[in-house]
This record gives sequence, structure tokens and C-alpha cells, in this order.
Amino acid sequence: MTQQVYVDDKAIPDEDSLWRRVKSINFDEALNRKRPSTAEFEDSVDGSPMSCVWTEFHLASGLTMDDFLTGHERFGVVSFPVALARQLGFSIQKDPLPECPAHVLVAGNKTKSARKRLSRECKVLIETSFG
Amino acid sequence: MKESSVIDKPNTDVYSQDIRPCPRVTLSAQGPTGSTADSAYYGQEQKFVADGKRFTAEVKALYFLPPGWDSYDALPIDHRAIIEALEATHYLVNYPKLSLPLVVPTKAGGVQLEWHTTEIDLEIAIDPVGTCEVSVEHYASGDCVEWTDTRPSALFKLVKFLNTHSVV
Repeated sequence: MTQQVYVDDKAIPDEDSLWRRVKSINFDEALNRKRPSTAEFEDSVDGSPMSCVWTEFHLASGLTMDDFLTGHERFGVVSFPVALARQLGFSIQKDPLPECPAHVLVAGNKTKSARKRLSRECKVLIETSFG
Repeated sequence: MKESSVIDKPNTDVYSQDIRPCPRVTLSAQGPTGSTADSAYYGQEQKFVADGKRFTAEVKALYFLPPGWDSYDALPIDHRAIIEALEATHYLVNYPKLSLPLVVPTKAGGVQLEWHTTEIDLEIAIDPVGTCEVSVEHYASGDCVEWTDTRPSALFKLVKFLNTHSVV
């Protein structure tokens, strides 16, 4: 079985950001604010990389946050910079879907420390809580 | 001190959804000292009850997650992982500085327990066969360690870490 190679697409600028839907956002007493769980930044069960949406392209396509959450109304949304993903050694590759042309895959080893940084440095745009 | 009023039956409103025998909750009419410190005492009790409700709701919700619950391709949560998580919680809540954890489902059908306090950041990811991936960071010392082991061994190491860092 050959392993798929994901190439970082430099057409996605460092200063842009990525959105990801999340299920669990909780209060961190040390940070004194809410943040998503590190479990929210794992690759797919089938081994394919973590799905996100390239925010600027999504909005430029005339789509909105509501479109991103259509069918997923109880989810929260977090945002993190493309530059942070690259700092963590991840590659960002376009993977347009019919319903989501700005869909991207964030490939790379999702170590605990990398997931912790994403969890702590992302911005919570829409809150949610599990349970 | 005045006679305390004691609720000698489980509070069914809080615990009726729990899946294990629940502890008795004792609420004093006046508090332990009769002084102004009682407000803190009541605050602790209220937090205990609120944590219990939240924890129960989170554990219950695990059972109802369908395939793809994360809006991507997550697996339903394996009941064995839930049992393992409850056992781990039962073991760790004996330590006063560890209140009931946050409960988070994982994509692979496991459960992650989390404590994010001012003192430590602790996560225990438990898979369906009971393997625990522990990640703990102690802010004061800067110590940050991770290990993966079976539940008993992983928790034994964790308690050793917590004792060493005077967290318990």
C-alpha cells in the first residue's frame, strides 16, 4: 500500500486562517478562558489528514459561517492561523468538496504537543459544550 | 452547633441518570462552623453538585454519539472505553485537588478525561481496550511528561507524579 504524500500549497498564505468545527470547548483555569480539547485536532480515523476550511477563500466564495455549519448546528468553530499549522510542521493542501470549495487537509504528525498548541492558540469563534 | 439536616437518600434529580451507585450527599443546615467561612463551604458543595451533573451528562452523552458525530468520520464510543474512563475517574477523584474531569469523546471511539486547573494540565486518553495515554504538565515546575500504558500502570505512574509534585 502506498502512502499518500501531501504537498504544502504555498498559494495559501501564512497570514490567512483555517476554521475547524469542534464538539468540545471547556474552560481552562490556567488560561482563564475557554479552549477546545486537544482531541479535536486529530486526523481522520481512516488516516486521512485533519479537515479544515480556508477561511478567506470560503468567504471570498460568497459563503458564510452559517454555510460552514449547515447540518452541524450544535458544533462550535475555532480558527487558527495557517502560519501556526506550518510552524508545527503541517502541510496544507486544497481538497475542494462540492459543498465546500474551501475545504483543505492539514497533514502531518499530530503529536500531543502539537495538538496542545493548536488547542491553546486557536481562537474560539462559536462556543459549544459536549454533553 | 445546631443539628444538621441530612439528606439520607441520593438526590434523584441529580443522580437518576447515573450508571453507578451514587454517593450520599450531605447538606448541612448551618455549615460546619457557623461562621462566615460557611459560604465557602456551601460554594464547594454547590460546585460538587454542579460538577456531578455535568459529568453525568457528559458520560451519558457518550452512549448516544452516532458514527460521524464529529461531523467528519468519528467512530461511535465503545462502551468498554466508557467503563475504563469511569474506573479511572473513580480512582482519581479520591485526590482532593482532582475534581470530576471533563469528558471528551475521541474520534477513534475512545474517551479522554481532562483536568485544566491553575496547577496542572492533565489529559488521559483511553481507548476501547483500556490503553491509557497520559499527558500531564505541572506549571510550577515546568515538568511535562507523557506515557502510554494499561490503565492500572498508567494511573499508578500518574499518582506517583502527582505525589512528587505535591498536587494530591
